[in-house]
Amino acid sequence: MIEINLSVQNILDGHGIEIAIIGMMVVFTALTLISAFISLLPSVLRIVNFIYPIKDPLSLPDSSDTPKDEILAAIGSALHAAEIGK
Amino acid sequence: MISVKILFEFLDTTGFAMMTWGNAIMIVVGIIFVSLAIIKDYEPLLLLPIGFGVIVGNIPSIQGMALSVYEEGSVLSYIYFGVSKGIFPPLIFLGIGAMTDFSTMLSNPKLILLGAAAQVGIFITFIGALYLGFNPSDAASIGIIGGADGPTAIFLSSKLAPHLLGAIAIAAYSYMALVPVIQPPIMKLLTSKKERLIRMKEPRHVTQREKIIFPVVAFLVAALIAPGAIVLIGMLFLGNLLKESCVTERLANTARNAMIDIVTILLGFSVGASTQAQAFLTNQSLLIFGLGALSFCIATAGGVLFAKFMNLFLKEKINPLIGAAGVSAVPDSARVVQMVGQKEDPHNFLLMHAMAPNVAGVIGSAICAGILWSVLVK
Repeated sequence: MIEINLSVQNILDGHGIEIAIIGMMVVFTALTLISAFISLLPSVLRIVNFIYPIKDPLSLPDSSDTPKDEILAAIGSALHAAEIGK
Repeated sequence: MISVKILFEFLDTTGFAMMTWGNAIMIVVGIIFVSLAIIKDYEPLLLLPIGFGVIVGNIPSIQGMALSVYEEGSVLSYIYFGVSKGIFPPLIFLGIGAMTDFSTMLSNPKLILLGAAAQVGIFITFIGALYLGFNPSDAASIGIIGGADGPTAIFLSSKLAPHLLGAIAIAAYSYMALVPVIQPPIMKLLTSKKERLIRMKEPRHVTQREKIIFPVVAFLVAALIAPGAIVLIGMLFLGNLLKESCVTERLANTARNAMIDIVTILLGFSVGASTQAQAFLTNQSLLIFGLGALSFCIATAGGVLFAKFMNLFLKEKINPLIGAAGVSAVPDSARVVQMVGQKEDPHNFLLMHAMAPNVAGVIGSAICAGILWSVLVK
């Protein structure tokens, strides 16, 4: 159980200000470096793509829009059903 | 005569006989959580298992029978082991990584800084908790609630302040569920109508190679700067690499579906069951809830104000509302940004833009946890 003891001295004893400032600096540094890397990435990739070109752009599938087998099967089934309906 | 005696002895061991007011209050709290999940749809995946866990954890247990999470050898204590030893949070991060698309962040990297700015809530609350008399480890665990990231809060408090774990976990998840209530007033207070109407440019197309390289390099940068964050950040980016590599689709599917669901059930239920009235209903818990709310508000304000600050230097202005998404709470705070933005202009779509600081906030809060852990570990 904590005893409430309002005191600025608690902050000083716990190195609160120092930890907070250093913590924010480290978070900003880490995320700024990641941000800088991402900004440079397209330029780096232009060089990489020049050295190691992607022979067939379709050989590197896109995780976000790769059609799933089930979806293809459903589309095929729907087309088949429509064909029979005719 | 003997059978009557046995009957009375049995009646003495029932939950009715041993129920305290505290237990009854906590059971009502549990029922409220379950009701909020079902009726209001507030974070049901979390609040429902937590709420039911609260009910289970507050049924008085019989002396000598190992039943509660705190009794060695009980089944619940084995489930709670994953919480108390910080095993579940990294597994949840693996699932989050496998379901997160970093494309919007990769297309507009300057928005990452909003995810850093929103972490100010953690450190200001850390100072506030120290001022109130908490020791540094407890204060850090309370401050991390402002990261609005339940697994991170659980992970850090399991390492630095295990005795506060129940209160911190409940506070963190409660505030995550209350994002749509807490954030909009702060966002409106700190922005003008003109600022809320700002439209942002469509995000550029991100190639698959960028998406594959990003998790590896971002992990190296974050882990080398803050090694304490290795476990959380490592699992987050491993999950993302499983997704983006396109060669481990089965593993990514398991991580983002079955595995994260199983861990969420076990984590939510055992955290709820750890809130026994005797340990939970204290003035300390009330302080933690108060500080947690403060932390969340400061984090939201920090993100919005930093977005306004960035606008001073940017040619293409960003809508400062998206700064509020820097508190992580994926994807709820991004949805709140979209909702508040569309109230001003129904044709302004901020969701995609808000996802950038949102996922950056996840990385930022994990780094904060790593920093606090490495500085304060004894």
